[in-house]
Order: sequence, then C-alpha cells, then structure tokens
Amino acid sequence: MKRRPAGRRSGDRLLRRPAAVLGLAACSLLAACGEGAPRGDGGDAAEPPARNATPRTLTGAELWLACQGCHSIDAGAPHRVGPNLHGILGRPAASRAGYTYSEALSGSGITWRPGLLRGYLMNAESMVPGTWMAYRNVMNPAELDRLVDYLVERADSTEDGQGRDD
Amino acid sequence: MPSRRQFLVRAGGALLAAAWPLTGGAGGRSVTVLGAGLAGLHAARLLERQGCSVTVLEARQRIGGRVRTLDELPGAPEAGANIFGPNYGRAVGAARELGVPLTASPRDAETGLILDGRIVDRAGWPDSPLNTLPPALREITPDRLAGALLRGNPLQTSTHWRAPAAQQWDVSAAAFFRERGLDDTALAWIDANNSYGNRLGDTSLLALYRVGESIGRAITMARGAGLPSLHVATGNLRLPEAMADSLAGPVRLGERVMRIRQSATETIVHCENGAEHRADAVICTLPATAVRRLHFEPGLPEEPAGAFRQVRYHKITQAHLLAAEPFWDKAGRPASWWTDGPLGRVFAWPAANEAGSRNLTVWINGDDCDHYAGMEEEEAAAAILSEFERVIPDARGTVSVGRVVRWAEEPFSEGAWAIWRPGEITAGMPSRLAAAHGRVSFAGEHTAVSYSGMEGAMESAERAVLETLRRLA
Repeated sequence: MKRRPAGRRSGDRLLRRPAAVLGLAACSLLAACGEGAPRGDGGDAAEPPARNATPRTLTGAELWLACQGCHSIDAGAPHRVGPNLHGILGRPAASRAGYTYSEALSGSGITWRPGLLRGYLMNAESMVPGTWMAYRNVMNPAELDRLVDYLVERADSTEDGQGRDD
Repeated sequence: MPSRRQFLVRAGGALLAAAWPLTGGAGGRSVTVLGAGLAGLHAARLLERQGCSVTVLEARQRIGGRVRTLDELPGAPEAGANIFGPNYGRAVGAARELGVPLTASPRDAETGLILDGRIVDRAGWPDSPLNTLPPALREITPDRLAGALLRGNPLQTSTHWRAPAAQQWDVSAAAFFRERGLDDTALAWIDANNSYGNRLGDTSLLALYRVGESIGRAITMARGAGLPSLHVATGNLRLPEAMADSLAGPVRLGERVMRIRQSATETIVHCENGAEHRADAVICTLPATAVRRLHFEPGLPEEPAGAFRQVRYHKITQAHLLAAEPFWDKAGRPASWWTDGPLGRVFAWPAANEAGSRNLTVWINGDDCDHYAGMEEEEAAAAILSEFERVIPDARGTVSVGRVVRWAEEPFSEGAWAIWRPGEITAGMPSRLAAAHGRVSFAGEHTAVSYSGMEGAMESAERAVLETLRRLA
C-alpha cells in the first residue's frame, strides 16, 4: 500500500532550486552572447529520435500541483482556502481544527480510505453534493492511485505527531 | 530576442547543453508559455517548481492580461478582473504565498434603479406604469429579474454544464425568459446588463446556469465560513506582477507570437519581432481571439480551428469616472446604479481615493458597447459622460472621465471573456478550445470548467501543466 512510485521527486523546495540556477546562468550567457547571432530559419538542426511519444504517468509529487493551490500538506502548515491534508488517510472527513467545512462534508460520515478518496478526487461534487470543493478531475485512474499514495507518503515522511492530535 | 535555449545552442552548443542539469540527460524540460496573464504565469510557476526551464512571452508591454489596474488614475480602479470569490482557492493561495495583500471587497449595499432615463423608486415598482411584468412577477425589480427566474438552477455540480444531460438547457436564454411571460420590454431589461452574451437571443441558458451554479456555491461558502469576497488592496495587478517576479527569468514583453511550429521533438514559436523560441512544449494561454490569428504548423485540425474561429467574446466598455465630491450624499441617493441602458451599470469603488474624490465605473455590456465603438477615446468619454449626467443630474459638474476602456477593441484580447451561444456547448466548443495539439496545450479562462474568471484561468493552467508534464520526459 505504501509503495513508492519510481522516479519520485523530492519536495518543492528542492525542485525550485534548479530553476533559480537556470535563471542566473541564462543571464550570464545573455551577457556573453549579445544580439548579433544569425537568425535561425527554424530548421531542426538536430533531429534526435522522437522521445516520449506516449504520455507518461505522472508521479504523486507532480500530481500534487493540482491540489497545492487550495491545500497544504506538511504537518502543522496553515490551512489555505481548502484545509491542510496532512495525514488525511484514516481521518474522519471535515475533522481538522481551525477550518470551517461545508455542512455537506461535515455530515457525510466519511472516514477517508484510499478508495473513497479516489472517488472524491474523481468527482467530489457528485459524491458529496454541496461540498465546497469545486474540482474537476484531471487525472487518470493510475494517477489518482499515485496521488493517494503520495498523500500517505507525505504523512509518513513528515510525521511528527502534530498532524494527528487535532 | 532569442530564447534561453537558443543562447545555449549558439553559445557553443552541445557541450554546454549536455552539461546543463535540466535540458541535458533524458529529454528536455523546456516550455514556452504564451501570455502573461494569470493562466500563463500560474503555468510558468508550476512548471518551474517541477524543474522546467520556462520562457513566458507576452505581446503587450505589460503583464497581467485581463487583470488590469489603472494605476495611472487616482484611486487606481480595476479595468479588468475585479473580485476574488471567497472560493478562489488558487488565486487567493497565490496571493497569500507571494505576500500580496488581499482585503475584503464590499460593494455598495444600495443600488439605485434607472429605467427609461428616469430614477425609479424600488418600493413603488410593483405599481409603476413602467412595470410590464405578469402579475406573479410584478414585485421583482428589473435588476433582479434574471436571478429570480434562474432560481431552481438544475445544475448540480461545477462540471455539470459540460455533461450531455445538461444539453437540454443549451437553448436561447431569451426564449426561456419569454416562456416565463416576459414581453420585449422586460427582455430588454435583462439584455441590458447580461454579462454572458452580447445579446440575450445569442446567450445560452446553460451558460447562465453555469455562472449561477458557481455564484451559488461561492455564496454558500461565503455564508457558511464567513469568508468575504476579496480584492488586492493595492490593485489586483499586483498579483500577476508578483507571480511574474517569482519566476526565474523575466517575462518577455512585446513579443507577439505569429507562428507555432512543431516537430516530433520540439516546438518553435516565432514572434513578430523576429525572435524564435525553441522548447520541448508550448502552453498557449492566449484568448481564443488571439489564438485564431496564429499560424500553426502543422495546422490545427478542423474541429478546434473552427471552434477558435467561431467562439465569441463578451463586449465590455467601461468609463472610469472620478467624482470630485460624493455628490450622491448631498442628493441623498445611492452612488451605484442599475440602468436599462445604454449606460449599463454604475459601480462606486468603496474606498475614497487620494484626491478626495471617489471612483465610479460605468459598466456597459454587450451590444450596447457598439454605441461607443470606433470613436476616439475622448469622444467616447464625452458621450458616456453626457449620458451619465443626463440620467444622474446630481453629478453635473463634479464628475470627470479618467479613462474609457473598451475590451472588445483591446488588441490581443478583443473582448472580456468567452461567451457561449445556444448550441455551442452541446457542439463541444468549450472542450475543442482546450484540446492539445501535439506538443501545444491550451489554457486560459475560455478552457476552464469548474470556475470562470481569474480562478478559471488558474484552474486551466494546472490542467495544461499536467498535460505538458506527461509529454516531457
């Protein structure tokens, strides 16, 4: 159940670093390079073999980007417009302190298990009519599995006791 | 200006590129993002967090797209997106992350009513000689008529409007209202300030239900959780600015995209100024009005191409007025007004501005904008001010026009937002506008499903980023 997807990436902070490095390096190149370079004709100078013709299945960490706008995941992180989701698996729905949930979710009687969570991510508003989570699923079933695994992993990897006692 | 990637190639090519941590190794991770509005900037931020190298191209000399604070005017009124719903999780989340200060955005509690050029007392409306409504509806004032008749919205979810089961409502809104006993006069009231079509007969009832469902959900959350609608205290434009500042490199302003080429291995975006940007993928967040001017190689298939050609955008004309003094207080009248045209609505911006005057926005929707189309800005300003002073005589001598903004005539957007005519949702137009074309994904509010406006732009960016990441190694 707690399998780790191959090639799983590390957290946001680490991922942000290469982009910043790139920005700096691009600037220095810009200074060295100037404007005089010949204009490309658009011809594909190098034609490496077609790669990645089949879309790959995204990792949980990548898929999390569709959640992070509204939710935090680290233990103790403040709620966003949606609630913190640290350690959500196994918890009753609408049970985090300091967050006001819709009556619909509060009264749903749900305890989050992987299957239920997958169903909710698939179509939250049909599963819990009146929920405030207006979210259109953009993931395939394999990706939903990975995302649910990711939620479990994040709970394990950053568990410090703060996430479960509220 | 050449792209970063081109610099790599020109600066000594393969060796350098191979040493590059992001573009070297198993497949590239570079993306060209078209448009520096909320969709493009959100997409760029998300891609950078995933380690991609991102170049954002913007045709205008400013960022923000249809988020546009008129910083040059006292009070800095909003010409573009003005309210963050309490449920705009992504947009509000980005603002908080970036330290952009959000504040509650109250509107004037009282809105006056002007019909046929005259002020109408709300209390007297049921017995007004202007009231042509059937007996059961006579107590409903014209500004609340559409909302009242759209109650019992059959849509159950934010995605329902795209479902086959919803197609039965993809009919003319004018026909729907007529069936409820409205005559031409009453239809014209609804038409005057309809924000989801340029005329009521060309507006899909389903589009109105979609918006109604969304607003209903926001109101439920606002009441249930005690959350207000918000705006950025210093101007909504601060949000896209902060998003742009958070990127690794600057947004490339003044780079108007003309052509998007792609092979099995890369994309090449050609700009009017001669710049070319090579990358592994493109996310195009331009409004459909701009996409249909682009040349794609290979070309778009006929279905999306036809959708891009046919989709219409909403016309909005705004006159941003400055009142030297709150004349409405003296007269004992509201500052905000609803009119049956051609002035549309007048909104008072709540906070007093630096000059001690207050901002009023005249907000004209749809085909009524044609009255002021094609004029010089000064001429349009004079025409709108003249009409304003005619129907609100208390304002005479105290009001000046700061700017007239005509979204239908704005280069690069040519409208405020995508609108759906009867049958277009059923025909799949919204999903065709969102269908990826090889290595090119499309985003922008016109491709959003669960939200519209700013949050729709943000939602669409996430979908496009996931599509793109699936394509990249």
